[in-house]
Amino acid sequence: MKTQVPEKYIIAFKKKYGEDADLNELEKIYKRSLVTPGEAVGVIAAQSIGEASTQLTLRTKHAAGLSVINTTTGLPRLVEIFDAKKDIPTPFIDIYLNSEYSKSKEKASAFANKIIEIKIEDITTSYTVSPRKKEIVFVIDKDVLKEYGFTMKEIISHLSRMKISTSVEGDKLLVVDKSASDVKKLIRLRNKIVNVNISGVPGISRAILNQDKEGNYWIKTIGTNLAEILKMEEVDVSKTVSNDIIEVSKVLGIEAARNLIIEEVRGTLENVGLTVDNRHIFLIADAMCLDGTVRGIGRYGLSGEAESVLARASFEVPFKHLIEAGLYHESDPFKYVANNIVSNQVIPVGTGEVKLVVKENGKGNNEESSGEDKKQ
Amino acid sequence: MDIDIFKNRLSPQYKIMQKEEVDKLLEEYNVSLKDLPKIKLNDPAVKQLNANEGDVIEINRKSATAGEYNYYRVVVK
Repeated sequence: MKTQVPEKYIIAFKKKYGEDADLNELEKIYKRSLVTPGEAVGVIAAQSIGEASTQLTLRTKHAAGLSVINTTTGLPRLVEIFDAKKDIPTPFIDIYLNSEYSKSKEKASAFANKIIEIKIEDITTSYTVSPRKKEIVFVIDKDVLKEYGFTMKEIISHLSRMKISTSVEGDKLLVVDKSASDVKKLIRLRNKIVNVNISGVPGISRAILNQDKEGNYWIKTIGTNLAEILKMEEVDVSKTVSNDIIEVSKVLGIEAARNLIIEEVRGTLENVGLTVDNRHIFLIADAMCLDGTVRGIGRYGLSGEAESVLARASFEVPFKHLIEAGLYHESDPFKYVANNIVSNQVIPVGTGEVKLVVKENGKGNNEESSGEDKKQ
Repeated sequence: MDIDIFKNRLSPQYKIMQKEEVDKLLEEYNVSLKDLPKIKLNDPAVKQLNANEGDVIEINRKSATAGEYNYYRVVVK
């Protein structure tokens, strides 16, 4: 394959050595700087990030009592990303608004209030379950109700999909379920009702209004529900993203997830003042997104799915893998590093990857001519 | 699904490749279709492109180190 020197190097080269500089010289330098075939780039990437991450503080800063949103940073965040963890402990979305909403504080804060999820739980002060009447009584906090601007009727309409009869008595909400045979069923019903969404986007528990340097308002949330947020017309789709990689891969696709991995890893490392070459991060992100889903690095991800039995066994829990391989009659292709080390053979890295090929008759370079030779 | 995910800043440029382009690509890199990186049929980007199983998608990535370059993924189930 022909290698082409990227244009930005040509421009930089000409700037330094003049317009009529020798481009052949540049090509030589460029080719020398390329990664040679067979280089163990994965190991180098692992070392480069691994070494830097020993400098990270193991414990995240304790931020209890502060009004700042607490997000996972440092080493725990790195582990979270590389393991492709589902349901991360501190998900958030940075919501950017369309120009109409981002300029005015009232509109932006009205939108922030609109997306916060309010459940029946948030407006009730207490409840009682009476098994004999097959009835649950919720005491609704009228002040809170007024603050949010709901009426009792609206709340009942949210419950209409359930097979129960509801009625209002003063500030009490009565729910009767005739089919409930015992207390357990009533309790289960109560837990269901308490989690009924009255307004807002499910999953968003808090929304905080921020202002950037240009005076535009944007919103940071605790909790995430990117699919619903992006559907709203007030939101600027081009800029709004969440920090949950698995969620992004489902909503925006695998390529977006790959870009987010790179962004988050770089951001986390930069936050603590570490610099790792981008190429290492690119390589890891590409490896994680290779087969169309985000796979973590580790026992349940990339390393656990290796084709070779011995490679898997040499990583973690060897007996489990060896016994399973024996049970299911697995074979080992001996193509990788770990199994060749185990069996004392040359590893396929660097010069070890090159195989000697000898033609049968020692003549000719293509199949056509060698076929002719045989005929004679 | 009403969201235009291609507008998002994390999304690169996608394009479904023609048959001839795919053949040329595979020949240039001396690989077969199954060696290419994969993208799932239910991926939001594939859905928006209306691509079918077996199609090769050309992804134009913007990179901090290499400027712009193409990446290829084959659509699988």
